[in-house]
Amino acid sequence: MALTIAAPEATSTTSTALYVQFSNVSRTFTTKKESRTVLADINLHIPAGQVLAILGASGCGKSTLLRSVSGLDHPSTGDIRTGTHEVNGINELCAVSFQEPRLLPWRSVRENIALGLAPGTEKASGDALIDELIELTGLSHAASLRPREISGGMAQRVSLARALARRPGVLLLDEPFGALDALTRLKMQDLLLSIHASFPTTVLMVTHDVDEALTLADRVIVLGRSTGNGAAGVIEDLAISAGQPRRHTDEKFVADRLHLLRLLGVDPTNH
Amino acid sequence: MSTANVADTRENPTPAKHKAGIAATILRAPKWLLALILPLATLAVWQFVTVSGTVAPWTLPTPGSVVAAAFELLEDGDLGKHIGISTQRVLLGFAFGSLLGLALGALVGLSKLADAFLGLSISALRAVPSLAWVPLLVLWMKMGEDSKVTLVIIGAFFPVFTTVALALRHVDAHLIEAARSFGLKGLKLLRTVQLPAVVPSIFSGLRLALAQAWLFLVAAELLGASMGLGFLLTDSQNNGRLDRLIMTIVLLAVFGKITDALLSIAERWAIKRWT
Repeated sequence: MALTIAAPEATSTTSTALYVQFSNVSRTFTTKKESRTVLADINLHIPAGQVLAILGASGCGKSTLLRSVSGLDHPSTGDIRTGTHEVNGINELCAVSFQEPRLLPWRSVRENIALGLAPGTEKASGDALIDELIELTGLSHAASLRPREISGGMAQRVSLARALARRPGVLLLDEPFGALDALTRLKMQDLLLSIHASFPTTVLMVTHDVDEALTLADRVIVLGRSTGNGAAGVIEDLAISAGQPRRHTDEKFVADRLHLLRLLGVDPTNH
Repeated sequence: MSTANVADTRENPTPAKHKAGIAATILRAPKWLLALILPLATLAVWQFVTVSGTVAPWTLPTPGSVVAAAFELLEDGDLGKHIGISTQRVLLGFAFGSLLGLALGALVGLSKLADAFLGLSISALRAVPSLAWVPLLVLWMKMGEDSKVTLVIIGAFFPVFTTVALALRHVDAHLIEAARSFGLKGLKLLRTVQLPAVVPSIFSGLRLALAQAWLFLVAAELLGASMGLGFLLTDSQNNGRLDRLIMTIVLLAVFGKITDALLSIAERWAIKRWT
């Protein structure tokens, strides 16, 4: 398995990337009527600095897996570690960017990004970090605008900047570009790559888009039904060794793409 | 009417344009001018029927005599006293009532436990008609200021309580979750997300509360007071002073509208600032 561990950069904002360890994680949702196991026996080690893309059919538990790292959801059995920290309650070592930007409408772009700052951040260093993030995400002209005054793509960049303001050891992206148009989505992918160069954090990204996964990730896993009871497990764990930038016409890229599409139940002859 | 016009426009644009034309032309005039037409017309009809003798003066005094009654009371210093004490009761009751409504509304809106304990009792108390409280309050607190202000507090409390509790329960769950994912909880979460999100609702609750405060004030003063606009109503009724009675009603309308207009300015600012 080839790992691309980003070289530590000597910027003021270097965050310490953390590894993520899933040990025997399963998740069962119980209602009065029934109990449904969504995830079963997840064992994964994601080395510090790796970009992991998580693919899978709708409702297979991709988001649940991601949410359990942030502490917004709790596994029914097993445990999750980010670095030496065992996740129990909200995990402040990671930051989430959701499919919707989820910005506070009454705050400016800048104030929204500031929400992500880790508690106890000094004013001066916090301001410097926000300036850097605003610059990095191309929001300089919009810093004082309100969320309703900016486009969907810009709002998503704010959401990303807010997550990075936490200087997370693990960045969790839950279909972060899923609601954007195709062109904006491609630009956001480029942005994410350049951000990862200056903020070398571990990234766990849920996506529906096979091309996006193959373009961005060092490793792609596919969640799917592996057991008889309908619960999802890891059915593919694919290392992507190609460096950046990646050409979509490369032989390996095309082969991986066809393989993943087939796994996801798509007939690749049309695509 | 607007929906009908939209449908018309699609099928047959010309007549629709014509129909909308009349309303549109009228609407081009300043809003305040349009709003003044009905009161001025009422005044004109009132003046006409009273001066011409169509309606007897002991049934309806002339507008002039109502104004004269106002000046007469004003010169005595009585009117200022009545208005002053009523305004004081409304403002005091409104302030305490809405603060209490805000606090309890926040508690019940945020905590399922508090809702389970308090929800039923508060909504049952709310069902009690305002006048039903008066005899009890008078017995407990005598005829003094306390009984009046307490009734106004009761009146102002419920609209704020209900709107705040309801609004807090419907704050965008996505926003709360995002804030929680950054470690915000408890009071910090309340201050950063939940309270700002319900600021516009708080203001609409306050407007309702203010209207209720005036309503409950008059109820309190009608039944047991020696001063205030409500007292002036009963006093004028007992003395057959129709001019003063109508003057008081007009004053209540004017003060109610002015205080509501002030709050609506604040509300508009809040909506602009917090959404």
